[in-house]
Amino acid sequence: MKLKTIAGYSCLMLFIVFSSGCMQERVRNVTVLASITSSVALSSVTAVPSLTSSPVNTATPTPTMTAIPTLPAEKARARLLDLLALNGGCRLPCLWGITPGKSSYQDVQVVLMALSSLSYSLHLNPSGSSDVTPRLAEGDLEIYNRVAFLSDPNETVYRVAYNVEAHKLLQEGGYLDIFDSEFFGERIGSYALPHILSEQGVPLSIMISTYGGPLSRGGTGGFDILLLYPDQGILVNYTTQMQLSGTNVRGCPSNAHVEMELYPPGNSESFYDLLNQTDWGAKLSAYQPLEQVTSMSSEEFYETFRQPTDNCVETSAKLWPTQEP
Amino acid sequence: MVEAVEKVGMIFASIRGLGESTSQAFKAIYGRMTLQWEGGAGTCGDSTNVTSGGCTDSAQKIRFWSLSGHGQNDVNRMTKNVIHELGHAYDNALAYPEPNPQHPGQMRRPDQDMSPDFTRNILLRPNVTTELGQRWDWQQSPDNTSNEIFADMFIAWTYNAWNNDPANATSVGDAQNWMNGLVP
Repeated sequence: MKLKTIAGYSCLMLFIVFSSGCMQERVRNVTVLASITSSVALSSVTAVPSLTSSPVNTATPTPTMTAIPTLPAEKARARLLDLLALNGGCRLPCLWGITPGKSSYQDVQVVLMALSSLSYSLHLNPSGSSDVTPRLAEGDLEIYNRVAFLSDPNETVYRVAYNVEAHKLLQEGGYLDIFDSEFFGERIGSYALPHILSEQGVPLSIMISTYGGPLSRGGTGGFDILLLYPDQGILVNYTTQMQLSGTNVRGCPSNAHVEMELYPPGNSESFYDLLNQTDWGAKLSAYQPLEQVTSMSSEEFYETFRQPTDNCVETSAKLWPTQEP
Repeated sequence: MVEAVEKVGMIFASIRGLGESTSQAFKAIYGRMTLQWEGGAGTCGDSTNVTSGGCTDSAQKIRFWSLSGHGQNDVNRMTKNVIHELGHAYDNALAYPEPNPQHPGQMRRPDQDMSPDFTRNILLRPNVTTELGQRWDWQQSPDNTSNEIFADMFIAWTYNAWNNDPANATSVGDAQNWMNGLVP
């Protein structure tokens, strides 16, 4: 952290009298390592597959149990690579074969269970959020995926939230975001900017968010490009490393991290209301329209980035706020 | 600082369920805690030079050079900054975690591992950017190391103010349970 030096404070020392706390045995729960390699019978209620202790599944099985196939790690890895490259053979807002407004919770279970061996956790909920976080590791680099399928009380999927990011795993725990990994970029073909633009056309709105000065407290990323397709029910956000270049800020979307919100198509009038119910309700205020902050129009952006390119988006630093130190 | 100590004591008293006052619960976790204002330059840890922010030296000592929101006299954000550092001290009190060789990127704590699925964007409320800039608030750090995520999770846990996107509800539930389960 590089906050300005605060000098001259008198020394304030708060002493609280020592007393030793009674140590109770800690309860083990929550961490879920899903490494199931055989089929698992699921009820239609919340179930968390785990070989470690798990607190979640307290459901009473329904009379009609369904055997959901899971895949061993190698096959799950091949499946995930295929999904990243081809998106399960469907077009957004369909993701991995799940179409908002059409697919059911039963369909979601099949998709998520197949990937559970690559994930630390799996949540299944017939009328809420079902999610999985499958990872692809290559040395200390990891392609991190998190997909959440949200179902309504009729067990129909009404929203899909998806993130795919490149991480470098740290010895001390946690990770660093990596924005220049070709390993990553080559494997997420379905979601890379050129593919989305080619498939979906010129977005109704393209927006940018960045900062007018260096990121503080060791932050990374800081340059976001947002594509909005309200009629198709699609939001796609690309996050990449901001670069200060003279009086400008630049971001290059090749190998950028991807975040998506997907809804049933044909509901453009409710699209922004739906986004307001997500984190995007708070985050959108940081964005400005591409045309107002760059010299590009949406059409020029589309023509520039619909093919793979190392081109970047550049904007004047003075148009953007800075981060608090 | 007093407000931060009270809030943290309150959540510990609530979770421990032993009928303690907030100060009793705080003392039970931290023992004698020193919160110390510093001036000028100093060091944190092995050799890090510090002229701003906070430094958690141990489970019982935290030093501050400045606080988030200090310039705006924003007591809410200053309180969160102190709670973030109290989160580091609590992490230390639980015996700082070690890397887990079986699972790179995961921290092995003495009793319970912290899931790698406990990530900022899933568990924590986003910091809001206005025309005045981005402010450190629910997240006091952008760092994705386990220690920094833990300290910001400690803010969310203390205020019971987690990410409220329905897509993250189950993961937030896991994190709440995990934090509750850590309390001695």
